[in-house]
Amino acid sequence: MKQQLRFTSEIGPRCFCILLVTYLSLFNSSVYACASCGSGGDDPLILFPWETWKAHLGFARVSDFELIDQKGETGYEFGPESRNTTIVSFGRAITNRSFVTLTAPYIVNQRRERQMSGWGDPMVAVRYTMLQQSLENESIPQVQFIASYRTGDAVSVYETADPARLDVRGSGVPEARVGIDLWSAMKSIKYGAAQTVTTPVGSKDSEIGDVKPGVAFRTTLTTGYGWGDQGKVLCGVNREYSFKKSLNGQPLEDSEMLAHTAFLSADAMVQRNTNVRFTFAKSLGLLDHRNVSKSQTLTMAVQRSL
Amino acid sequence: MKLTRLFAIVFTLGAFYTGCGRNDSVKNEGPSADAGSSVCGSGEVAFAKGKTWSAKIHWNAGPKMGLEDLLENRFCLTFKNSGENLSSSVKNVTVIAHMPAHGHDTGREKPMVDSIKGPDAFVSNLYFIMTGYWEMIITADVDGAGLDEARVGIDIRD
Repeated sequence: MKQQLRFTSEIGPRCFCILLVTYLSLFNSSVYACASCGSGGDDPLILFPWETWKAHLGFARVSDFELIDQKGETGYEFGPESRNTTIVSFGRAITNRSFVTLTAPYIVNQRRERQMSGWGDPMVAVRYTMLQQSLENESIPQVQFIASYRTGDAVSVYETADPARLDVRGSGVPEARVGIDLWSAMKSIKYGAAQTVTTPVGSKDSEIGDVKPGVAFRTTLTTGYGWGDQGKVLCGVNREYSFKKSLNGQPLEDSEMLAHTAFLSADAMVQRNTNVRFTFAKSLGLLDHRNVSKSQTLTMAVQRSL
Repeated sequence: MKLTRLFAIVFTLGAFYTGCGRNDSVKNEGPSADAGSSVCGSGEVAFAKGKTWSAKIHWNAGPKMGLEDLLENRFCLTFKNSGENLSSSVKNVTVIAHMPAHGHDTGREKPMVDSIKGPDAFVSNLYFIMTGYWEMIITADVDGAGLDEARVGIDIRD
């Protein structure tokens, strides 16, 4: 019975992904692969101005976890050794300057021979282009306003029932995010920057009291080179800082979080309407970290305009 | 006369050394003078916020995390009342362990008070799921003074 249940819970998402990839490969639509729009930001799926529908399917593997405590010292934790995430995202244009995306992750946590899986918290995001790029003045970047909301329903550390926390797939607290994304991609040399602020929506009633994460600031800087609409290579850095958490309304000392990561990504247009992207991201060991788990992430994604 | 003076000097010195250094909220202490009523060994002493009790913490196992597999930590609490006498009645003892910098506790497994015998409470099932600074919140009602709590910091490194 247990074997059948496991088969059913795993086969559903896998079948869905196979069907989605097959569908995306067969559908034919004309799209310019200016796959640089907004890539200085945090969302996996960006719609270009002339796209109406778009789908994204990504596979990410996070591994080599290394705990860093509040003093910045290396520690150990009894938790997952790797996390595999399947990211499904759909986007729809609202106007020629705005679009909305819905993203849902399916997460598999593994430690040695044991693993547990399930859906993480979905996120809905909206982007509005305040300043569009133009051929008349290529040096003016695109500027987008970002707003998103992520639920907090997936199992978190506050209600885990597994000794290695393999069932943890969310933060436990819904969060809202706003920000600005700047991206210049009209020339071969591309650059972008994004600044977002994420705030918890409510708090978590846990065994030790009412816990509320701190407000987080995330800065992303990106640069790279593109070959027309055929593809591009980008590299960048992220810096994320969270203010102190609070417990029952009182700030928790030494609970600020700081993380630095670097990433390298390569895009290639495999069909006129389909892009494939590979990304490698790793925590920057030379810079300060506090209260985080350093790791490395390998991602492969397919995006197709419908 | 000389013997009297010698006795007075020794008595004064003895009173001086036993009477000082009682202002810290946590300090090390040897086996209780009333060792016949308590079976726990030596350890740090935690003082409740409301000063209604103090408790000596003796670790029977740990404190450790365990790198390959989590280790169970166990300890014994010996309670004294506000008069610094071994308690005759200890009730409603609870222990919570959490990481203040992270805002989470020990996860699925929670510390359990297995039994209370005289002034001693025996705690087990404490698992530190990661290294770092932990805080134990010990709550107890000692000799009918009402619930009071003490917080004890532990730095787990292995």
